[in-house]
Amino acid sequence: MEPSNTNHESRYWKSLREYHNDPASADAKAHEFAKGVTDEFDVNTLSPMSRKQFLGALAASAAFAAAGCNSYRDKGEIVPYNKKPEEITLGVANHYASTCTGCAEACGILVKTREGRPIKVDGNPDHPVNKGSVCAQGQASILNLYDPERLKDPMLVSSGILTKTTWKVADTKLIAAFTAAANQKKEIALITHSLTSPSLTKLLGEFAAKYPGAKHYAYELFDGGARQSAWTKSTGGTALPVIAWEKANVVLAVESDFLGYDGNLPEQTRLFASRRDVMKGKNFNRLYSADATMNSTAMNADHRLRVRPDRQLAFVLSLLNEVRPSAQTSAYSLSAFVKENGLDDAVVKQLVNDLKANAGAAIVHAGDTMPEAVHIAVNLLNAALGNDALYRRDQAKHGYAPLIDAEQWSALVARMNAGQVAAVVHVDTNPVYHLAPDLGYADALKKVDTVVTLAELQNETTAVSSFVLPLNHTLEGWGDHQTRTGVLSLQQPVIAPLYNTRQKEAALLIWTAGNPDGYNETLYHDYVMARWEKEVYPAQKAKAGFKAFWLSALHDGVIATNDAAPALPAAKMDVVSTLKNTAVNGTVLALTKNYFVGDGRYANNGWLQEMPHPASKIAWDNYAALSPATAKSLGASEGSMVSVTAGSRSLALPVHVQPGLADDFVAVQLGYGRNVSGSVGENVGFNASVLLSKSDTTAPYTVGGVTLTLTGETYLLASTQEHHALDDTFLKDIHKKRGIIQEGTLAQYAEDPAFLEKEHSDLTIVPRVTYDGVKWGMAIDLNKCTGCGVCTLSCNAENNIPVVGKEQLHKGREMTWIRIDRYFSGEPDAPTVSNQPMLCQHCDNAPCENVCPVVATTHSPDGLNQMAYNRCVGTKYCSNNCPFKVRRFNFFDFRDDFAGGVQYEEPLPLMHNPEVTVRSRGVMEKCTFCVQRIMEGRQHAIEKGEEFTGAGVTVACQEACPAEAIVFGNVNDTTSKIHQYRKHSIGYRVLEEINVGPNVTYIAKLRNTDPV
Amino acid sequence: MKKTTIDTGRRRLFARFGLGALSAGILSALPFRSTAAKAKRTGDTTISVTIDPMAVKRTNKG
Repeated sequence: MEPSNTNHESRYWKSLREYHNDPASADAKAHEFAKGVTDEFDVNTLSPMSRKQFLGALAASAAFAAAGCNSYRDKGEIVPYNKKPEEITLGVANHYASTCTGCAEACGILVKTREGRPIKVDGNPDHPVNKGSVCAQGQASILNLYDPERLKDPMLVSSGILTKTTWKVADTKLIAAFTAAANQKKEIALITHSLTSPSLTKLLGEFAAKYPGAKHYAYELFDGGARQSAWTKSTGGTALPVIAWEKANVVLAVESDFLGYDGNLPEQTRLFASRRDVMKGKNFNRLYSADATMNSTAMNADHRLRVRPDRQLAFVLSLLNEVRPSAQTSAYSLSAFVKENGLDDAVVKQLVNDLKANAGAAIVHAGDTMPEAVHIAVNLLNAALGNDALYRRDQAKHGYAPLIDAEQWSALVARMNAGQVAAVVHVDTNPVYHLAPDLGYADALKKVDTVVTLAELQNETTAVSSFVLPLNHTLEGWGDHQTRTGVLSLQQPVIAPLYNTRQKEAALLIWTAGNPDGYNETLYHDYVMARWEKEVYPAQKAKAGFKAFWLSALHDGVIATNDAAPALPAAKMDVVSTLKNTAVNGTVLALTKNYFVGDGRYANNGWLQEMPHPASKIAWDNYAALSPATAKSLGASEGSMVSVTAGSRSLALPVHVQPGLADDFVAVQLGYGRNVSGSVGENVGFNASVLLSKSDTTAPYTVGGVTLTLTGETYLLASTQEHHALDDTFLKDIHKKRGIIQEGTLAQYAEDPAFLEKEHSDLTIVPRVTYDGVKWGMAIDLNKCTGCGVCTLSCNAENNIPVVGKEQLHKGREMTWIRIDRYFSGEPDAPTVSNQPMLCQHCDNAPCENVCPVVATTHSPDGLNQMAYNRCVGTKYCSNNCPFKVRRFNFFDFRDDFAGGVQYEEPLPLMHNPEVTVRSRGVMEKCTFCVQRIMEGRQHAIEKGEEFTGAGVTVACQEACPAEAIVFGNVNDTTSKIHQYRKHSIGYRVLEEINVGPNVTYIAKLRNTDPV
Repeated sequence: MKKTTIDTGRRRLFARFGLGALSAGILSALPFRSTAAKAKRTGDTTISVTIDPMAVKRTNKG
């Protein structure tokens, strides 16, 4: 599994077909376009019309069309403001600070608006946790605001039919229902996701005081409950610690995807990547991953150990026994574990040595899907090594009500069935979809008199509710959020609600007040402001008055509070005796999170559905991932349908053969298979929640004793992994490795920083152009890049990229301007993974520019490869010539072609960035280095009368990258970062030897694999 | 003066073109909309873009 030592001697492969030299794979690489895209035509089927006749008919029809063209698609009335709002300057963006509520991390966001419309979501640079970046879901959340299929009006069931009503009618009926429930001493169940808001917490308390019998339940599909309860059991404390990842010399991820979906991705990625910075020296951290699922963290690991989830407890206890032998752990022998599980003994020995040598400067981290026992073992291992030194003393996680556990769910369902629950209010939750079917939650709801669901979109729970109330989007509402001690952020609306929707908090306030006429648009704003004035402001001891303090807090989006982190408790090592080995025989199923659609809430978000999975590169589906060996023993191949059976639960899924997965193991992502969503998200993938069981209380996401049975059917999985394959050999008679990925080890770099340098050839048949002024260039540090894909989502939002759908994606027609190419090297069972963001290289000798017959693609004086969309006639010669395969062609008007033209439905076109052309059918497009941002920077310099040096211009992908792996700027500015990166000793250009002169420098990945 | 004749093929071409132009002229006088432009899809809800007056914008991007 060890990576290659030199870049040119290793062999990289993107798929198993390529690894096994499947002719189909070689054929795919040799052809620009997939089969079927440019089919040959049969001459005999051509029309008998002669060429002259054809031209005559063409001229006649052109005359017809010209006469009838009295209305162009893009013709509309552009009317300047009659009364311009004070805040708006036409053509100039405004920014608002707010908070994302997409998950329980509550990252600070900065929202860019144009003419009152939010068009881009980025991280708030002032927020101390995420510091200017958000995850992929945060970037894509702008599309949810303008989703044409959002719920627009309140609805209630009348004569068995869901009919539109008014808020007043709904509130009146609900207040009466809640009052009756309180009088009858029956329960009102309020079901929310994890709480992050102190104001909402207070409001829920007031609701419960108004209606005794009201109980609040918070849940998540993947809850951190195991981590929380484990912390309490192993230390006695309640506040989870915050880890100082940047101080860890060694990290062991135990089925943890801290670089993916476990925890706060922007913060963890930034801190981890800060220790992989070649500009700051060679003090790299070392990452070990013990996992089965080939997650994002595993793909970035320096060393990887394939360990099934049911064996993780034994693994961690074995390590604990090595570090601090005791009678309670003596049964767990590491050498025996290594032998039983076929692990690399040398790697395990190095792991133990590293943990011991870096005691107090290492961290062992377990993922959210791990059971409580594994978390306890990990806490004890960290304590034994003194790694609690890396738990921050100045900050801890701010907890709210604990999440509901399986027993409490069962008890609630029993009370519902017994008629003891008069009302259930789903506050932006979808438990009918999320919960294990054998819990019987959907059936129990039928026994409840009043079922209310507040949601943004139709979902499986609204489908069985008697009241469906539409909610504001995050960007339309007020709130405050605290997930860490010492940090309190505000949420403010950047646009007034587009529809007749309300905030969930405003609805609760009306019901608490018992006054259906009491609503006004500032209801919750006033509530939050009053709480801040009474509780937050006095504790701040601010010198300014409250009003100034409040406005300042809204401006910044976040304030530092004085609540201190509680003292870190010591671990109780004797808890280890309560831990029982969880290993099972047979095949094990792991139900995992997915990277983009979340718990299913983003199923109707086309950008997120279209993002390829970091490992499999499959989009628009989930699947049963099997290792090559397991698939072979089963007789399964890519796309074979397999029935995954766990006891009485069964689901048929397509197989994906995933290099690097553990053997006798199957991984299935949750969050797919929604059957009530929208036109984008319905029936995408398979609902794996059916494999959950209410009985699996200790390890709900790991199911043992699973059987896999081929059904004989096949299913098409759309994958991008063989798209845009870069030819290794440019000419058939020259067999030369192209060095697309160049890597080494940290030890090689330490010994000789120039170990990757080679002679550069300057041969060219065209005169070199000298760029004396600003010349744009980019550098991507592959040491920091984790392949998370946030850059892609940011580019999508910035540049109005359309969603094309599964069918077109399968044909290689995805329209993303930046993609993450994922390469494997080594053996399929345990490969090494290399990620490489690929975008237009803006080549100095661009081969695309020379071949355009209509000069639609040209080169700018500042080094950009430009596209003139209205010149392009769609010959696709430029795309054919591009060696990097980064040009995207609009084969259709994809916005019109996909999902019944939903991307043209109002108000979705409001989402478009007005600075970027919305392309239509028949034109080529590609990365422009965010030329609109460059022009904005140039304009500012002109306004100030300054020379434009390019400083301060950031492109969308660079701005979004949580690892800060992308550097962009003026390469002629010797003080700029890009200038330093371009001349770095391990910087290289892809396909440099063909002399196209790419302007994207990649910093070679250094793997920290050698012993110190 | 030599009489100029237009060959049959070319005559037919001009005839078709002339017919097309004539039709175009007639059609342009008729009050109907061609299919060249796609009608914008709108729901039955009026959407207005309004800024919340209580929101505070940033003075700088940060």
